[in-house]
Amino acid sequence: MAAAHKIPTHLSSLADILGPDVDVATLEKLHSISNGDLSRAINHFYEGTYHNAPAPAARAPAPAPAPVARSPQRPRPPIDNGITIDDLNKAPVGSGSVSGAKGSASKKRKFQDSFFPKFLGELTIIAYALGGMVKVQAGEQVCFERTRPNPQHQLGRKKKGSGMGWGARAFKENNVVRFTKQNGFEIGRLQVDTARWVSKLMDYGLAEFQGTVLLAPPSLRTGAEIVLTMKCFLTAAAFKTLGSSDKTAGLSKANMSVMNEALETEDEIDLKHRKYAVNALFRELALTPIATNTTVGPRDKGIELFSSTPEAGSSPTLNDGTDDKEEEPEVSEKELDVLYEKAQQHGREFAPMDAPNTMTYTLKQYQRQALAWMYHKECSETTQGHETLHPLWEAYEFQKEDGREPRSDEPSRYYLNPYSSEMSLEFPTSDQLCRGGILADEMGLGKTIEILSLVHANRMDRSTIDTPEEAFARLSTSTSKEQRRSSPTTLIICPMSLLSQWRDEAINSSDGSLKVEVYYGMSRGWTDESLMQQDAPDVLITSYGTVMSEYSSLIAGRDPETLKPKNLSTLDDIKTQDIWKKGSALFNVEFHRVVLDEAHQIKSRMTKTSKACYAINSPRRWVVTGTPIQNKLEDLFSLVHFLRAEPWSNFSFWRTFITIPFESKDKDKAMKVITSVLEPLVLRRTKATKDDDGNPIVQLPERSIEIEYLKFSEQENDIYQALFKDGKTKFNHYCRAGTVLRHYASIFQLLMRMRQVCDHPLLVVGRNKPTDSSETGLDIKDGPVHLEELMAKFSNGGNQSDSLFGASVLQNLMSTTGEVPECPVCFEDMADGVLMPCMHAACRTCVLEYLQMRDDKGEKGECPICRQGPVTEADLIEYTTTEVAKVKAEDLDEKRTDVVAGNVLTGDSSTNNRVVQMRRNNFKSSAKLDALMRHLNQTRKTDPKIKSVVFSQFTGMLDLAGAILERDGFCFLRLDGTHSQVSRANTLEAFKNPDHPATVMLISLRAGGVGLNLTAASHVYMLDPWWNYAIEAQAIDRVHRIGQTRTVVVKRFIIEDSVEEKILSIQNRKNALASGLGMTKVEQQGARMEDLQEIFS
Amino acid sequence: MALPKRIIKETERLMADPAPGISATAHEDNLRYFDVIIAGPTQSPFEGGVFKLELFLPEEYPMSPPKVRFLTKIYHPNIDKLGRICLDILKDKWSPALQIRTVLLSVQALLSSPNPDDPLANDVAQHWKENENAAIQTAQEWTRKYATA
Repeated sequence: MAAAHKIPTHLSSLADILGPDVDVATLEKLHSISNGDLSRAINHFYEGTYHNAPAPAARAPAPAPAPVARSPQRPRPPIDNGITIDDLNKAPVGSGSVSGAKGSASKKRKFQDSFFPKFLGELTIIAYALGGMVKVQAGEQVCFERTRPNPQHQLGRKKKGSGMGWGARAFKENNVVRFTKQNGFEIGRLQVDTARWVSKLMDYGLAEFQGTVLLAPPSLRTGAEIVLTMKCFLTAAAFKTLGSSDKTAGLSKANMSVMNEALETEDEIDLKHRKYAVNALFRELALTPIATNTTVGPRDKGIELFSSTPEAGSSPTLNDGTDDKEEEPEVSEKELDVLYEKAQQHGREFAPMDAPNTMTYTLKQYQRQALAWMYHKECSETTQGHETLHPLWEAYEFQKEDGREPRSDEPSRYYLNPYSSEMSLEFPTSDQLCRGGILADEMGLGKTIEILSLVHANRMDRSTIDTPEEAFARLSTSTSKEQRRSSPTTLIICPMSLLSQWRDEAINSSDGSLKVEVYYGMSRGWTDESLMQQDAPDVLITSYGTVMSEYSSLIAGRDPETLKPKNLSTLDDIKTQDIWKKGSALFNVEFHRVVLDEAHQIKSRMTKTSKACYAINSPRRWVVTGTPIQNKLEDLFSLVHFLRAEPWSNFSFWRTFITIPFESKDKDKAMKVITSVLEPLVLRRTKATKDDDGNPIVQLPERSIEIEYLKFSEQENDIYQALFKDGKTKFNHYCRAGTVLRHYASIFQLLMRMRQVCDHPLLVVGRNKPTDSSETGLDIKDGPVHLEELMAKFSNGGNQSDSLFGASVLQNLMSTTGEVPECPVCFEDMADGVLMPCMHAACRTCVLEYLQMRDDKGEKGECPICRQGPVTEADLIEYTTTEVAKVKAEDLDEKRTDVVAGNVLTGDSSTNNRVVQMRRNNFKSSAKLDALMRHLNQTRKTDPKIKSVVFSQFTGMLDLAGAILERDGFCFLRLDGTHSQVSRANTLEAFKNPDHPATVMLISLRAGGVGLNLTAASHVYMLDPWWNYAIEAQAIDRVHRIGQTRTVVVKRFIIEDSVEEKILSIQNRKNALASGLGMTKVEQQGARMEDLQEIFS
Repeated sequence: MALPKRIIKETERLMADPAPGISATAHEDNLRYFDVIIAGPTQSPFEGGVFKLELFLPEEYPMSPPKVRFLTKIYHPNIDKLGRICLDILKDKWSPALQIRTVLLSVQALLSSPNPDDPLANDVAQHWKENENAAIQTAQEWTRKYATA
């Protein structure tokens, strides 16, 4: 080894070849006269021409640092594995590398001891001669060499000082592969098509090639064709697992953490090239796998994608992360059907399984099938008799090389992952396939029960768990954190609204042997230790919010990269560490099983909630959702990632084989791939799914959905038309100005108001909250009240003319002409007018500017019209439009003639407050409320037992509905987003109870759309349409689901000739205002424009 | 600089519905600059006269008052030799609710009722106080001399 140290690095490769006998001085000389060109140096050496060759006067500046040394371009003769190839053995080239005197050589020897390079196959190629003096004959051996600059041309260029020479960078842009005689004389080069992949394989050191001339013209003119056979050998390097090299370790890490990096890294480009080259090699050699896993199917599915040149445009391979969800096309209904088709077949192949007798429920046939399927998925490691090939890998048989018997210890098979170009000699099993899956049965089929039956059926053997004493002993003796931290608990994560439903179902399903706990809010007493003991709960239910917040504090307390505690040096650090410890139970334990209910909550992989869920540790992972794909294929990725279903949980794979092909023309291929991904993972049945006898698996009672068209009252119509005109004017104005997109918020507010007026004009009034004006002595809480009080003020005090003026102002505000008054300052329409205490009105901005100006001058504010003052900002009373004022007027009229309606209200303070308001406003019905009450009263008469559910998007509408229900003496319950978890649970419980007097449940559409079980009711009233009918359908399905015994009657109230009718027509179109709220996505704005234009037409 | 809507509207309205005895015309090249003509009010020393004024709306208008000046010589205790006018609403009593029309009406009213107690042209005010009739006579003479075509 001593000699090795003396040899400078730029000479080491030369020394490698020429052997240890050549001294450094000679090497140096060879190096310098050949300008660092290895083969020229060798030629010089063997021709002896170096002795008298003049050394270059000045050494080439910064000779390329042994460009060949580390590159695999040097033909490495495979002589030590028993193969004898004529000439090669004699060539001193060989002896050099066998000597093993140097570090690099000794490394190589390891491979030489084995059977590498391993013969892979042979092919015939055509190459071109370069011309010159060389002559070749058929049968002559040739060596292949990576690009070598033409000495004549390159020499001059090099002298000009391109210090880089032909370093690594040059190789990437250069695919030239030359072939030479054994003595190094260049004969020609390969055709570009061949060279493209051969060069890559040589550059990456994956393969070696030997050539034999088959046919050559007697004189080699430039461009003459030479036919060669090329034997391909795989090197040991090709079988290195990618994961073990630093490169790809980094890559996969990048996939895990920074998946949204937009640019391809060097590594990724390397991998891309490698993949291309390996696949080209296999294709050219016409190697066919002897076995593949059918999961992915024949490899042409994806592989064609990058069998073309990697340079060709934006190759999809591993173009990691450009996470433009916006541009992702949505999955169409039809495509979804295809996707789910296979998933419906599941469960059939297993004999239906009965729930163990610890479970009190009797499972339906399809539920027993689900249990069997899930049980099988969880226990697959025991039932699996034989190992299956990893889905992405293909098995190949080594071909026998002519004239050589393989050694007995040589493997006969090898395996290729065409998607990553990894090769292996070991059998890649599908071991790491997840134990779990996606339970995607349609809503109402009892997914909860199915999961619970699994909990019952596959419990952890608790005898393997510590008793508390043992746990204590272990804790006190062991400091190692390495021990298995497994818990017998099944963790269920669900939306907060479903916590109690899960708990109840879990408890009810059990004969008492199931210990069920909720981990939420204050009841979070579980430490990681207690979860690992024998008395740990069987089922622990928590909410997404809890998981997310604990994960956040985890991240805050720990280095997010490593999850190792940060250095705790300060007191603060220690404090946060304590917090971490307290909140750590969920992430410190390996749960027996983890289940995500309504798992589309994590459809975006970038949200904290999703990341928190990924971080939960458990070998059995289940995802429960009725809609695994909501809009985009990427939705599914997050679920698969959570399931840790290799390899699809790797975002690169996903993107390469699914997202990108789906976006491009290869939609069909992507669909095939995704079907194959889903097939083993997903179980989905719908209500229409037929059982083996051809009957639907679920027999639900009939349901009728009817749209009931209503007409506005005259007054309502006036208000609506005024609002509509205003909205139309504004919208047209924005259209002309081309600023619609910028005014989305205000347009949507306009729309919202129009929709609210359809429910009840008061909803729009209610929005008109004046500024806090308690200081003015007017205790104003609500628009109508405030006008009343103003009126009162003016009739009580002040001089006559003031009072008259005030009255006339009010009269004006109430006028039904719908004309917007002009601001006396800016002369514009007074859209956001304010009243000063003197009852003069002006634009808010104008008044504020004036007050500010006076303040700047040190003067007190005053009314710009009558100079009454002082006026401060707090004195201003906002009012919006005359339409609003008109409603007030109605109320005032009503006040004069009518008496207070409901005064028997009880309930929590918030409702109380609202109702008090209502009383002061005095109650006025609307077309929809009238219709609702007509139906409810009718129902009460015909069958008082029937319970009804009333949905609205507007809690204000629920307030009003509540008030009118009071008036007519209905007992009702109410559920909206303001309810705490406990009160929700109580409300739902009460509604379920047949003895409870409440027959009506008011639910906000958004709070009640998900997960709830409302089968106690059989009548449904949808007070207002939502942009997306799916949301309404989901709400209806809360009633029309398993457990429903009556015919379900659904009424959807729609006001004729209003925005609601247009919403209906938009609902029926494909490009609905996609799911309503996401207003930022550019590509949807075009569609929205159409929608808006339709609405304001 | 776009012209505020208010100025456009004011101009339109002055054209469409001029105040009696007052005309205001915006310059075509500067819409903030107005040529104003006020007829001397009847029963005043300025009766029969036609007074030219200039009116300019500053950038801050209507938060700041317009600038108004007589171009025609006038003998008035609240208007000085340079035509400047002493009128509270043109100064600290300005309010953005006032307009060109109201300003010019105020000026017209000022011609009807000179206020020598708050003078701008001191000598004229003095004259007015000491011998009102003589002062009025001078005013009438000036009106004939300068304010009639």
